[in-house]
Amino acid sequence: MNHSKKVILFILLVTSIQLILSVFSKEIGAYFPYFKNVNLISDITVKEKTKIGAIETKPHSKTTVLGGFVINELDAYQKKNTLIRFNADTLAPALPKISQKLMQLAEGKKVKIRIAWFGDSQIEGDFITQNVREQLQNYFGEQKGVGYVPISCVSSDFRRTAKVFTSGDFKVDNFKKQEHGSSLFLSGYSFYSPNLEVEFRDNVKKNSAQSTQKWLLYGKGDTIAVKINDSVKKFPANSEFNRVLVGSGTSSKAKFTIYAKHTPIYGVSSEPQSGIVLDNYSFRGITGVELKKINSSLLAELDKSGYYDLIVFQYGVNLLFQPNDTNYDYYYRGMRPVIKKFQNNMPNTEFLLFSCSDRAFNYDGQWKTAIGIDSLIQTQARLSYDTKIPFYNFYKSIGGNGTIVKWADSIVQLANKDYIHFNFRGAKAVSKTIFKALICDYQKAVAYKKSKLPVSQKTSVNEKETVKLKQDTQKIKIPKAPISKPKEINVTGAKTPVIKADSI
Amino acid sequence: MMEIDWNSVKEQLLYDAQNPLLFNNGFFVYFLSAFILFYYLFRKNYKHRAIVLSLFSLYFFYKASGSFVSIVILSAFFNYGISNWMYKVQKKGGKQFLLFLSVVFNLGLLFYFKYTNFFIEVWNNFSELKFNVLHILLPIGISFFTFENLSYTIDVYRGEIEPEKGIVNYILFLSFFPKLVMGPIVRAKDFIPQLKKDYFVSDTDFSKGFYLIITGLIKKLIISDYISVNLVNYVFDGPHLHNGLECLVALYGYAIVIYCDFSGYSDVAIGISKWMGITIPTNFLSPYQSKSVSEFWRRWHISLSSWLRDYLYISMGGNRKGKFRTNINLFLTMLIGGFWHGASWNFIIWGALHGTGLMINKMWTFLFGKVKLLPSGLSNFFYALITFHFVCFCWIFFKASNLDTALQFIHQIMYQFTFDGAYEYVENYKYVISMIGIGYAIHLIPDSISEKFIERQKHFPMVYYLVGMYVFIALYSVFKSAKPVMPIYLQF
Repeated sequence: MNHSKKVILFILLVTSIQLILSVFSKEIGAYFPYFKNVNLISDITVKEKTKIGAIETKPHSKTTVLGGFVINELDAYQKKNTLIRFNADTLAPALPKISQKLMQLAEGKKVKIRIAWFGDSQIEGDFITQNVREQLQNYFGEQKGVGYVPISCVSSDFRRTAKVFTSGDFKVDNFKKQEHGSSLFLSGYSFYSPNLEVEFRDNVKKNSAQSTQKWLLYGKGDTIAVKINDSVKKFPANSEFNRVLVGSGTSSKAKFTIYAKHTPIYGVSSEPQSGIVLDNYSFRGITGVELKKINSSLLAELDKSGYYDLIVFQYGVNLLFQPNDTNYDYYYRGMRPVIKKFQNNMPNTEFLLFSCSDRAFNYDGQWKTAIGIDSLIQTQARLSYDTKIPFYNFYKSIGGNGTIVKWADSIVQLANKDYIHFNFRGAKAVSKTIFKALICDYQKAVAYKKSKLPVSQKTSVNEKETVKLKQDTQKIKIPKAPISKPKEINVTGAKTPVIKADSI
Repeated sequence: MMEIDWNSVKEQLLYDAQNPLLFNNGFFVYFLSAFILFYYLFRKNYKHRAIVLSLFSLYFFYKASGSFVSIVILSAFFNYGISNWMYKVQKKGGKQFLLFLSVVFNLGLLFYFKYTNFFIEVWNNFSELKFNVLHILLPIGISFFTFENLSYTIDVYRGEIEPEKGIVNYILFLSFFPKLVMGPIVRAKDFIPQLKKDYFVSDTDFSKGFYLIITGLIKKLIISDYISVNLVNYVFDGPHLHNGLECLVALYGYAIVIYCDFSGYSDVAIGISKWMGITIPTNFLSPYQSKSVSEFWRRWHISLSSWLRDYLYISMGGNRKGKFRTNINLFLTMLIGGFWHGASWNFIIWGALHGTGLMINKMWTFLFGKVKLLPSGLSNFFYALITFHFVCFCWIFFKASNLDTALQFIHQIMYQFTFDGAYEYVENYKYVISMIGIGYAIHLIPDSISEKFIERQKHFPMVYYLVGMYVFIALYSVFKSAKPVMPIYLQF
């Protein structure tokens, strides 16, 4: 018997039923919301006009003018491409101290500037930081070096800028598993070994004539012994932070053996004699709160020797682990003491807090930026505001809402399909954005210097004056200010002030 | 009140590069209904039916690939003309020349669209003189219909078939919409004669068609897409961010993803064809149950492996020129088969690995084929396990976007394997892991059970089929991702 009639009957029946159901999709959707995914007529019906492109930035209802300067209030955190120092003049650099040293470097002085860059898996394998380092080193004297490299970590094999080959057993403590009770280094790792052969290679491209110093970094414990070229020397381990020169010269390699059964080995640092050193401290899956496990005495020791000029905290995507979370007060409570601990123990070091980047979740079948992202960034801005450290809105600077989805779904991918991590192309792209913001801040400092007044005087605040702005654009003549000439600023009621500054 | 937007209706009828027509588009439901209506109306006249089927198939291809539909028409006319000419030419030299022309035309077309940029990049790597990479889009299905054209002209050359006299039938052979974009690769000698028969669907055909369509859609749209989006894609995007255990689970996930994706699409194509009274041979036979690499290739993408055997391996001499040449021919066939899948070193490596696997398989059978150390059930289990893992290993190169990523993936499994965090991982990915389990369970169902079910199902009333279809639609609506996940083999 021929069942061809059954075929046509079946197909037409299914289509007709589905069409009828689609007409009542609104009613069905109330009981079965997924029906919208199989609505046959959704693409051809007139849709209700929905408000799209909601304004991302909250309007500034007020701007504070202080002694003739426009001051960054809390809601200035929404500014992109700029480092914000809250409660300070918008024309002042957010990082005045490091900028001063950078200026010395630019003048050709032999200065070493060291930056610690903390982060999670987004900077693992030296992603982002390798490109920021490269750009900074190219900009300031072309003296190269990879900086700090741990003996081993989960991303060691993936990292291209440096390699550490070891032979011999070693034990590891880290943020997640601390069995040996000794102090962890900034990287979140410490290593112990009675006999460890290390072959280190700095893969950062440099002029072949440039020499680098290769340091072994270690902590407090028993005296350690290091064998270099068949010669064994002992070194005390009295401080929380010690270092031994294990190689110097134009070679990018260093080979040595460590005997340190009861002393934590932190890693190796390869650096130029002067110039920029940028250390990558990535640890997968953390939010920054884990940094509380680092001993205060280690931080104080580092600060005493003026080891670091700047510490960057770049965290956030691991806080967005639940798609519908919108409250991050717990993070504020956890992270504030960490920043305070660093500040208290490292008074000579500057800090910079990055906002989270973009992360997306699958909401009803569509990948979208996490709904809690604005709330998280506000929390981070509040942390920065309350602890008085500069803030960088990384999320807005790379494009804001929808960026990671766009980057992961583009033909030339810039991000991975987990909608969290940048790939090497994306990392390079965001590093350029970060570099520009850092250089912009440096140029602000240069402009300040031209005004021949110390930065501290310019940023000091005695009185506050709050000006309610009208919605229309208006021009405010700034009273005599301690800069080269009076500035004119355009202030639009609902927007961040745009500064016309000729000398900047 | 619901209002129809006629501009949107017009847009729906036109090609949209962001949303090419596939079996899972809403538009396909309209398309299939309109098509089957006309097909049924002309059921008594096969010529009219062939015209209807051709027009709908070309329109399907236009909706899937835009203006590239002209390439199908052009290549149909060329091969139709040259095969008829070849048939009339008496001298062997003349036939050879025409076959040569046909091969150059068909492979030239494929080469231009698929491999130009690959060779430009290879050239640029080795030469001082650099060329810019060209902006060439790959027409969907070109790899499939090129092979169909080639097999047709080679069959005519070998005298195995007479060339088709009606151009409409030839266009239909190439453009038959169920198999156009992703195969199976069909042979003219099997396909065209069926067009000339009455439109007849037996009760078994109806039951089997329904079974294949529903299970095919479940495999593709629910199992494969869910695992791809929620695990496989991002682990393969950044293996360095995942430990060895996570990479290994993603690899097992990908093995089931590619099977469900491709076999699911093939099953739907075969099922729809069944409902049109046309039988297309099966393309997959539970390939992961294979106990050797050569058995795997008798069960995986059968229409391709049999094509490669008949038109490449045998043309190179097959096993007729001694053991050494047999092995070389095997290796080269798989190497070229790998390259057919895509213009990258990864596919070449994938092909080479399978070629090497087949050679080792042959040697192993020669040396130890008759040695029995273990009971056959146990040894079969171990052979199947080894074969499966070899195939999975090769999938790493198939899936990874480049060689570095593939090597990184292997490195993670070998050197970053840890059970630390395994509990949290299972907890977070329990649905994906369950879906992988379901995929393998479906794969392991013996064919005899499904055949028995199809036999029993043919006695069920229409309401059963309607309920079955709506259960699927409800499931699909829950699992559907907003962005269509393109079938993996669409890129080939």
